Amino acid sequence: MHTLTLAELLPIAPEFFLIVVALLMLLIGVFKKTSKTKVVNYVLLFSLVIAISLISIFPSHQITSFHNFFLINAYTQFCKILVITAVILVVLMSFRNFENDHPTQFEIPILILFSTIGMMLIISSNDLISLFMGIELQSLALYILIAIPRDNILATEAGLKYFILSALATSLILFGSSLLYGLIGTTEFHNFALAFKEIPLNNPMLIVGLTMILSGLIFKLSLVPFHMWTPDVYEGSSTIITSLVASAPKIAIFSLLMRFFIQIMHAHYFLWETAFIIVAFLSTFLGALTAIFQKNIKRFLAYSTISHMGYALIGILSRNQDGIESMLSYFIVYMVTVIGVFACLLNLRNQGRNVDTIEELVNLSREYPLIAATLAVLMFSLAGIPPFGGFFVKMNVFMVAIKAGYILLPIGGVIASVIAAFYYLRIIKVMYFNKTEENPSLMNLERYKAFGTTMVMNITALIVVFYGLYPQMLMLALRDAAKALF
Amino acid sequence: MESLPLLTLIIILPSLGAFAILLIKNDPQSVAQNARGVALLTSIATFLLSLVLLNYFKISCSDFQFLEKYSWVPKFSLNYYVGIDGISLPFILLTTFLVPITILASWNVILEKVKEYMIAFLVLETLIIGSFCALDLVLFYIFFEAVLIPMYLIIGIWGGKDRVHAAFKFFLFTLAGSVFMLIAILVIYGEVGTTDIVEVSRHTFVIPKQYWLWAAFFISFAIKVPMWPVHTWLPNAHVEAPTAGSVILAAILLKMGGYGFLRFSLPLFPEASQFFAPYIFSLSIIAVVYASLVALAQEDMKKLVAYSSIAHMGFVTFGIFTFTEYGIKGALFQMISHGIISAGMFLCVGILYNHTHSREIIRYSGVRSKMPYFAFIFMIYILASIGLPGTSGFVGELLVLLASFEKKGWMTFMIGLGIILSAAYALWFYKRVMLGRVMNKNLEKLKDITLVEKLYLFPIGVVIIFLGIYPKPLFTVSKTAIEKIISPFYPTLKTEGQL
Repeated sequence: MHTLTLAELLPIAPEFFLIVVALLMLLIGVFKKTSKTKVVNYVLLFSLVIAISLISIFPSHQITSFHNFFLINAYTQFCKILVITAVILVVLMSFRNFENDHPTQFEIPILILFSTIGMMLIISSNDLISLFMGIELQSLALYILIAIPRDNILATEAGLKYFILSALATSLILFGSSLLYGLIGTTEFHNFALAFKEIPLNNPMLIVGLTMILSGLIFKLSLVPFHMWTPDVYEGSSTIITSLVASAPKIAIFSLLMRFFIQIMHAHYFLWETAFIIVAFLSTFLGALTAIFQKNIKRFLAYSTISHMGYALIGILSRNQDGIESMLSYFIVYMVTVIGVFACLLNLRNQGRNVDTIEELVNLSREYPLIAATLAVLMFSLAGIPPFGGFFVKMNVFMVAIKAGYILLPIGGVIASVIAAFYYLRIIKVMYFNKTEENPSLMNLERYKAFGTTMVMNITALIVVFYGLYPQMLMLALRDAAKALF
Repeated sequence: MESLPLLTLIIILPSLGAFAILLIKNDPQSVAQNARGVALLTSIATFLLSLVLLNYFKISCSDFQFLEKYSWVPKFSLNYYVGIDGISLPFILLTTFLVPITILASWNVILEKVKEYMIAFLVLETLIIGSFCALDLVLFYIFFEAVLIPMYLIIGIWGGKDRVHAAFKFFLFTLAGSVFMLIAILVIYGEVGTTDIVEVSRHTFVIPKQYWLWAAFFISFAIKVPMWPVHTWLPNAHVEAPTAGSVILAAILLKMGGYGFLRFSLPLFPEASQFFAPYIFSLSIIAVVYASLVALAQEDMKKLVAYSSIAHMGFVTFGIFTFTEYGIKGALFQMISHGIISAGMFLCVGILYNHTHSREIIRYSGVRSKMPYFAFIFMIYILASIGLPGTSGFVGELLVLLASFEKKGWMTFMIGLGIILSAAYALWFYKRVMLGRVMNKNLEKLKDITLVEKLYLFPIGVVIIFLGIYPKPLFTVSKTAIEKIISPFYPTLKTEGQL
C-alpha cells in the first residue's frame, strides 16, 4: 500500500495552493458586502502570480506523483506558466468590465481559477483518468462562465450549446479511454508504449479508442470537423470570457495532445499521421474560407482561431523536438495576438456596449489612432505578414514540416493564408480606408479607459512587433521545455 | 571604413526618421509641416550616405562588399547578413535618389494624415533598401514581403476613388506569388541547412527539384515585375495610388522582381533558368507587344504609363534570360533607366492631375502653351521612354536588342516592334495632351511648374540625359557582378546557340 508523502505532494504544490485560494475566495465573496468582484479579482491575480513563482522555483527534472497520476517536468512547467500567463492577461483586462457588468457576481474570478486549475491538471496528467478529471474541471467552469449573462439569449444559447457538445466530446474521451483500458489493461501513459508493442495495431478496439480520444481533444481545440461550437460560443459569451476560451484552454489541451502523440505514440505515428494531416488541412481552409463572410468580430475571430489551430497542428507531423518548439512558439504568439485583439476591442465601447460588428470600427483610425494601429499590427501578424511575430512562428511550423518531408500540407497552408490575408486586410480597410461620411450612424465609438486593458494592449503589441528582432531568448526556453519529452 | 556598419546605417536611417516623426506632437498644422521636413531631411541624408557607399565601393572586387553578418536565430542558422555588389548598388542609389523626390512631390499634395504618410514612405524606403542588401533568403523574404504593408496603406489611405479594390488586388496578388517563394526557401533550407545565398549558390539542386524551386521563385518575381499574364494588378494600383506611390511602385518595386531574377533565379538555379528561358522569351515578347498595344488604347494617363511600364519591363526579363553579357547589362541598365523615366512620367501626370483633377487624356489639349517649362521637361521624359538615342532609354533597349539577335532574328523583330509601338503611344499621348490649342475651359487657368516642382523634375531629366550620353559608370560598377552571374552559363551556351 502506497502512502502519500510530503515529497509527493510538493510537485503539485502550485495546484494545491490555487485550490486553497479558490476556497478562500469563495469565503471572501460570501462574507464581503461591497465591491466583491474587485477584491476577489485582486486575490486571483496575486495568487496566479504566486503560482507562477511556485512553479518556477521548483526543480524541473521529471517527477511523477499520486501513483503516477501526475507528471511534472520542464515541459509541463513551461506549459503551466504559459497557461497562467494567459489567464493573468485575461484577468488584467477583466477588472473594469466585471465591475460594470457583473458587480455582484464574485463567482466569475473563482470559476476562472477553477478552470485554470483544470488546465494545469490536463497539462500534468499522466493517466487517462487524471486527464479526464482535468478536462471536466476545466470545462465545467467554462460552461458557467459562458452562460453568466443570464438574461442574454445569445449567452444562454452559447452556454447550453457548449455544454451539450462538450459533454459529448468528454464522453467520447471517456469511452475511448475505457476501450483502451479494456484492451491493454492500463490507463497510465507510460505503459501505453510498451503495451502497444504486444497487440496487433490493426485491432479495431485500439483504432476506435484512439479515434474517440482524438476526437474529444480535437473538439476542445475547435479543429475541423468538430469546430461547429466555436463561432456561437465566441459570439455569445462576454468578450472577456471569449478571450479566455480562445487562449488558455487551447494551450492546455494542445500541450497534452503534443505530449500524448509525439512522446507516447511516437513509434506509432502511422496510426495518427493521416488523421492530423486531414484535420490540419481542413481547419486551415475552412477557417479561412468561412471567416470571409463574417460581420461579427467575435465570429470572425472564431473562424480565425480554427484556421490558426490548423496551422499549429502542422508542426506535429515532424514528431521531433523542433516540431514541439515550433508549435509552442506558434501558440505563444497566437495567444498574445488574440488576447491583444480582445484588449483592443475591450478598450472601446459603442453606445455603452461592447463593439460587436466589424463596421463599428470605421473611423477608429481617426478617433483613436493608437488602438487602430495596434489592431492593424495584430491583424498583419495574424495574417502572417513579416516582420511581425505571426510570420516567424508560421514560418517555423512550415519549416519543421518541410524538413520532415511533408511538402503538400505547407503548400496548402500558404494558399489558405493568402485567402485568410483577405479578411484580415478587410479589418484594416474598415479602420483606415473607409471615409467617415460613408457611415455616419456608426460614429459613436468611445474610449473605455481602463488601466488593465490598455496595458495588455500595449504589451501584446510590443511583443508582436519585436518578436522577430530577438527570438533567441524564447527559443532557448522552448528548447529546454521540449527537451524534457525526449 | 571597415568598422562602420554603413549598410545597416543606410537601411535603418529612414526608419529612425519615421520614429522621429512618430514622436512629433503639436497642433495639426505644424505637425504636418515638421513631418514633411523631417522626412525630407532623412531621405536626403540617406541619399548622401548612399553616395558615400558608392565612393567606397571597390569596382574590381567580384565578391559582396560592406558585409555585415550577425547571428540572429542560431537554431535555424539564420543570420542578419547584408552586403552589396555591382547589381544591388545601382538599385540602392535609385531608391535613395527617388525617395526625396517623392517626398517633395507630395509636399503640397498630401494634406491629410501627413504624419502617417511620411512614416509610411520612410519605412518603405528602409524595407526596399533592405531587400536590395539582404544576402540571406529569409531576410530577403522578410523585407520583400514587408514592403506590401506600407504600400497597401499608401494606396488604400491616400489613393483615388477605387483605392480599396486596387490596394487589395495589389496586396493579394503579390502575397499569392511570394508565399510560394517562402515554401521554396524552406525547401532550400531543408536541403542545404542554411539560407545564406553565398552558400546556397554553391549547392547544385537535382533537376526536377530545381525546376520546382525555380518556378516558385519565378511566380513571385513575375508578379512583381509584372510579366504578362499576371500584370493585371499593376494598372489598378498605379491608377489609384497617389502620385508618389505610383512613382515608388513603377520605379522601384517593379525592379525588385528583376533584381530577384538576377540575384536568385540565375545564380541559384542555372539549369532551370536555361530550361525555362524560351518560355520567358515568349512571355516577354507578349508583354512588350501586348502591353504597348493596350497602352495605345488607354484614355487614362496613368494607365497609359502603367502599361508602358509593363512593356518596358518585358525588355528586362528578356535581357536577363538571354544569359549574355549584353542582355544582362541591358536589362540592368533598362531597369535603372526605366526607374528614372517612369518616375518622371508619373510626376508629370501627377502635376497635371493636381491642376485639373482629371487624368483623362481627352480633357487635355494645348497644355504646352500654358506650361512651357513643363512641356519641355515632359518631352525629355517622353523621348527617353521611346528610347531615343542620347537618352538613357536607348542604351538598355539597344543592348537587349543586340542580345536577342544572338538568340533568334524574329525575336529581335518582335521586340523592335515594341519599340516602334512605344514611339506611337508615347508621341501620340504627348500630342493629344500637350500640343494643339486649349479646348477645355479648365485648362485656361493652368500655371507653369513651381520652383519645388522644377527642383524635382530637372534632376530626373539631367540623370536621363547624362546616362544616355555617358552610360559607362553604371556598366563599370556592375561589370564584375554581371560577369559572375553569367559565368555558369558560358560552357553550355555554345551548344544551345540555336535556342
